[in-house]
Formats: sequence, C-alpha cells, structure tokens
Amino acid sequence: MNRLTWHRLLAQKLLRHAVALLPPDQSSWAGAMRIEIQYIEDDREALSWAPGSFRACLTERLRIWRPHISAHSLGILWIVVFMVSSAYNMSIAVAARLGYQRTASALGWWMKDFQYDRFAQFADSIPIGLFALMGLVVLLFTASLKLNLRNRPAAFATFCCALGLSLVAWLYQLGIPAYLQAMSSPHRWRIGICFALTASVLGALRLLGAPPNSSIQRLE
Amino acid sequence: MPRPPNASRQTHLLLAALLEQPRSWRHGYELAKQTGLKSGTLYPLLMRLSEQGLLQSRWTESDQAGKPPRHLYRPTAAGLSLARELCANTTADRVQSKPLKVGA
Repeated sequence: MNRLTWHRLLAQKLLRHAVALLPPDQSSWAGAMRIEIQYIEDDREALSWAPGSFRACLTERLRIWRPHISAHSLGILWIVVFMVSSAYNMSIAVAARLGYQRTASALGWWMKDFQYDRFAQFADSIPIGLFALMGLVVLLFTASLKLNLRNRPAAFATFCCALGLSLVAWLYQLGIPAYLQAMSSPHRWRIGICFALTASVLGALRLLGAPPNSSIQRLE
Repeated sequence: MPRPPNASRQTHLLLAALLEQPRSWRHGYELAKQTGLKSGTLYPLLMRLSEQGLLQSRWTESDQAGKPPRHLYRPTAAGLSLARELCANTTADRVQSKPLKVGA
C-alpha cells in the first residue's frame, strides 16, 4: 500500500478544514473540491490546489456571511476593540509586573514619557472577578464565531451574551479610578485609532466577501 | 459606474473554455489546467455561474477503481449564449482596437 506523502496529507488536512467552512446547502461544492484533489496525481500539485480551495470556501463563507456582518458589525467592532485593548493593557501590566521593563517600555513606546506603568496600576486595581468576566467574554465570542461558521442558531444568542457581558465589564472598569487615569484625555485618540483600524478590517472583510456579480443578469 | 455582470477576465476565460466543448461534462481540475485559473478563483466562479443558471453540474461515478464520484460541469443553454456573446464581443473589441496601418 502506498504511503501518503506529507504534501498530500497536508493538502487533505487543509481541505478537510476548508469544507467545514461551507454551510450544508453548499456541501456539494465542498465535496467537489475535496474529492478533486484525489484525482490530482502529483502530490506537490495537490498541495498547491488545496490553499486555493481553502480560499474559495472562505470567500464563499464570507459572501454568505455578509448580511450578518452588516447587522452585527457594531457589536463585533465593540467586542474586538474591547478584547484587543484589554489584551494590550494586560500585556503591558504583566510585563511591567514580571520585571520585563524593556518589553513594557517597547509596548508603550508611543506614549508620552513611556507612561506604561499606568496600565500596571490599572491591572493591580482590577478585581479577580473582572478578569474572569473578561475571560468569559473572550470564550463566548470565540464560541459564537465557531457556531456562526457552522451555521448553528445558538451563534446569535452566544454573541449577544458576549456583547452584554463585555458592556458590563466596561461599565465596571469605568468605576475604577485607575482606569480613568490610564485612559486620560491625552491618550483618548488611540481608542479612536483602534476603532478605525478595526472598522477598516471589517470593511475589508465585507468587500472581500462581496459577490463578484452583485446584480445577477439572467439571459433568457 | 458599476461593472457589468460576468465581465471579469477570469469569467471570460472560463466561459471560453466551456464553449470549446459545449456538450461535454468537464471536471474542475481539467478546467483549471485549461484556463490557468487557480482553484481559489475557479470554484467561486463555478458557484456563481451555477447560481445564475449558466452552468449545470452533476456527480458521476469514477472509472478509476477506489476513487469517489466526481463533480462535473457543463454550460446550460443560457450559459452557452452568454459565452458566445462574450467571445463575439471580445473578438469585435480586438478588431476595433487594432491600429490602422496607414500607407501600407
């Protein structure tokens, strides 16, 4: 029996994940791409075929997802910014507390006088419950993404839970003086940049997922 | 100004390839080799054309032992007329864009 080369194994693995991206009503296309690779004799050619099929599945998935993205874009934007800024603040705080001053300084190079220690103070003042809440938001959002990719109806409920809990966490943070100090007015512009960057990524995703022929013209 | 549907070069290539053997069923790999399109471009196009009713697809048993059934594609009547129309337009454009030879 012939052993599969790593090229073919990798290609098959990639395609297995790719076809999982497509919803059930597109399963025949997913199957077509997955099976086609078995008819490609050359292993290297099979490997070069797989990323293209993966991209095709992803493009199709995003195209179908487009209406949902527009409906939930604000919520997604909020959660992504919340998660990214929390992760960033925590990285600075952890680096500062563990004594990696150079890392903390590098992360906060753009701040006036390298005042990254404000995040360390903020992290110190966060109760453990809030950390747990933030972790829960990340988990719920990841779960909602996974459920959405699999077209499960529970995706929306999970997403709403993540959104609601992130709002609770944010409101809680507003009550911490160190948070207001960390987010003092000279640095508020960075939140704007963060929102703008996230919005442009989401916008690019939307454009990428747009169907090439938006107005379908049927010939009789 | 919005681009007309099915106006991309890749769509033209695919339709031209399908027009070469309009009655025969073709598989994805064969079309990819003929057109030079990567699978990431080819399959979304096939899906779109199929959605628009310009392409029909079917599964067929493989003649190679141990291989699963394969997905095949063929243009519909509407697909064929679109392909002919696009090919005719492309040819007309080429003729028009040829520089006139003065004093030849």
